[in-house]
Amino acid sequence: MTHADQDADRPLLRVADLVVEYHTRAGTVHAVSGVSFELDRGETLGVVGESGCGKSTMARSILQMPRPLSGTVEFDGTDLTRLPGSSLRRLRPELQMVFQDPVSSLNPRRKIRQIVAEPLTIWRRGTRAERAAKAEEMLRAVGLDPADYGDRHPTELSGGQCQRVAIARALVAGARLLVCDEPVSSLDVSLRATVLNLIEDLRERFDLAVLFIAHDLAVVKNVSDRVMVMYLGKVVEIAGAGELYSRPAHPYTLALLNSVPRPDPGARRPEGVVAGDPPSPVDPPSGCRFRTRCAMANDVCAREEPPLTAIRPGHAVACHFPLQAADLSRQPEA
Amino acid sequence: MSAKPTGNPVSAAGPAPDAAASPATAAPLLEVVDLCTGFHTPRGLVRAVDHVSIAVRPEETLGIVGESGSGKSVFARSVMGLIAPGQRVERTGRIMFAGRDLVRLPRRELRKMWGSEIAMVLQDPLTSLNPVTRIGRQISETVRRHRPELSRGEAEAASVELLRSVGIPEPAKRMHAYPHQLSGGMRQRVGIAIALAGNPRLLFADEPTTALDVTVQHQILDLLGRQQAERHMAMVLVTHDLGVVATRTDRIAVMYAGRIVETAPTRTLFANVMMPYTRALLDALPRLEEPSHTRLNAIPGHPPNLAVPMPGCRFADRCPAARRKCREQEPPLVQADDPEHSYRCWYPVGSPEYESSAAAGTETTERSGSDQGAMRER
Ligand SMILES: Nc1ncnc2c1ncn2[C@@H]1O[C@H](COP(=O)(O)OP(=O)(O)OP(=O)(O)O)[C@@H](O)[C@H]1O
Ligand SMILES: Nc1ncnc2c1ncn2[C@@H]1O[C@H](COP(=O)(O)OP(=O)(O)O)[C@@H](O)[C@H]1O
Ligand code: SF4
Ligand code: SF4
Ligand SMILES: [Mg+2]
Ligand SMILES: [Mg+2]
Repeated sequence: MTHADQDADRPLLRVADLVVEYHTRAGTVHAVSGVSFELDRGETLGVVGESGCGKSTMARSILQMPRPLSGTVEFDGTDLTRLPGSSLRRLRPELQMVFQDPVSSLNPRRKIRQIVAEPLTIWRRGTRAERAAKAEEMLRAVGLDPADYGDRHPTELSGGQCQRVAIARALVAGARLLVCDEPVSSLDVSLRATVLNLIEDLRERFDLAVLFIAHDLAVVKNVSDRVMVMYLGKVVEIAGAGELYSRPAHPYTLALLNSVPRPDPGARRPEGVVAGDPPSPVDPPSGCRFRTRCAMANDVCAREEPPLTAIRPGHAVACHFPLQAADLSRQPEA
Repeated sequence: MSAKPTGNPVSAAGPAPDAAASPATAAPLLEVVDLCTGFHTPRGLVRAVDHVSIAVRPEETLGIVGESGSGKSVFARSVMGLIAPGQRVERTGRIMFAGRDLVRLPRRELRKMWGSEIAMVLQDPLTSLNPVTRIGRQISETVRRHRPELSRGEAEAASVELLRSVGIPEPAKRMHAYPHQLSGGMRQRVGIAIALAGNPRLLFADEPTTALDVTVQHQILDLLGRQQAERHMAMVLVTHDLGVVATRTDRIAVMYAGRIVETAPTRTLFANVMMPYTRALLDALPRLEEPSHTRLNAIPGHPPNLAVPMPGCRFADRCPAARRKCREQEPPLVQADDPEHSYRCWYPVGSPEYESSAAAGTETTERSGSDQGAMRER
């Protein structure tokens, strides 16, 4: 993979019109319905949205597990969707993923140093001694002393330490894209802060492109350069992190922001939050998929699907009636 | 600040009630005095709850916060009697509930109180719901256990009403669903419906929203608040997220390593944090109003091993203000300006010792590009 020299300006990852469906007894689940975005080296794109809106499916289908129904995923100029399995496997070390549950994602019978070295063994990198040295280097990079932790088993580590091991393993073979699917959702406040700081450090040190999925908006803002909001398989808004939080334009984004618990007893409890559950992705609403829960919906919203449209440079929204600054008076100050 | 000791360190014997347990305006519904719960393990006796005293008044909401492993769940489960003394478990102290000591109550009597006096909502109700039984039947059975006079049909009607009251749309239809067919939020609503079926006077909610996304979390917390007001119920809300308790509780108890280290009315606590651990918990939160890439203040190190008795303050290894005295003597619970506010600390937030140490520590908290940050918390 030396395309990088030819086109250094090109984003590392370019996803276009990604569609993923699952066929179930209840019908076809429209899990991801036309998602497009770009992601650069050294950049973090945050992804937020309710449970079931397709975040994990999108992430996994970027890695071609499962392969999308349609759309393209260009990684450093190569369209992964057209790549045969064997070439994809060769690329695998460069595209890595970290999951929510750190403990169950690690083999309990193996030692920490073996777990971290495993990808090198699978891809037959270097000699045994080189692999061991590389694993130790990665353990140190994630803040675990190999002398102390190397010979332990995952059950002898805390959740936050297991998550660091998972990150070390993901990066050991030279990952360039790190997909984090709710990496801190099961960690307590302090471990969460540790792991977020770590992801930031490693992104800078290894010039990683990070796709960071979480449902906690404060967490996402902390690590992201840009944030993408998903609703029922679609991108409803995407903008720079600061911009999205201070000037949300989609009613759903505003409602999500209003739902964030504030560590301040004096904070007003905002009114505009989303009620009920999202509709079934088997039978998504016509027009705007958010219309069944949107206070501003009218006939146009039921008839016509709002396209994702730029309202400012770097800020796009899919709504017929994007919120103006004046509408945001109800928004908690950002 | 008056620093008058109102409680006893571990070494002192006897059930000296501390500030948290002292009766205030209303007589408490629940009064826990000097509760200790320990587990015998190959590594020794794990003191998961260590001399905890706290009271909950009728209709009050008490928040219990602390890191993972600080003893929140063991406390809640001990009070409920779900962790009972046996070969592996030691439990001492008093648990006064509506005038009766639950510690001395025969098991049979205690069981009668579950659901009708005290009930519990767990993080993932899937673990407490039977996966192969339709939810309607599970709720009806609970309803009938509490109201045996009801016919099957009446119990079913009451169950539908219960589901409706917790915000489940088309409740009659949902009665036929199996737990796995419901979303996480819906399952939690069912869990709450079952907990409320016996009209308890006290509800323990142990991380009821930790597994849920922000939208559903907001809905569930609203629901709990509404039900609590309607039923004049007291609630203990257990969580590690100070954001969750800030606007949803009357009082907060901060737990660390099996101890209550600070307790105060919610507003007082947020306005006037005294215990460095509480401060550290607050400082570790990512904030919406901060710009992206702000380095977070993780608490260095990890909670102590509860199987090893500690002489001094349990937070000493991780505290920016720790001094020799902290490692040698455990600070007693002392009262702050507000008589309902107490904490354990020799050099509390605001003291010259704490402020000078905390100022010295902030230089290292900038988010740096080096791997030094990654190494900070080991
Ligand atoms: N059955 C048991 N046997 C031995 N030790 C136990 C047992 N249950 C809990 N512990 C220990 O007691 C301590 C307190 O655990 P507890 O579950 O109450 O923590 P918590 O504050 O609820 O944490 P979390 O936020 O992770 O739920 C921990 O050190 C835990 O390992
Ligand atoms: N393997 C699968 N088979 C069928 N449906 C699935 C599968 N995985 C996910 N789904 C469905 O696809 C939708 C999106 O799910 P997911 O990507 O897991 O969402 P998120 O990660 O945002 O919570 C949901 O409706 C979910 O139930
Ligand atoms: S398009 Fe209509 S329904 Fe959709 S978010 Fe905008 S106003 Fe609401
Ligand atoms: S200052 Fe001393 S007593 Fe207070 S929390 Fe820190 S270590 Fe404990
Ligand atoms: Mg997911
Ligand atoms: Mg717990």
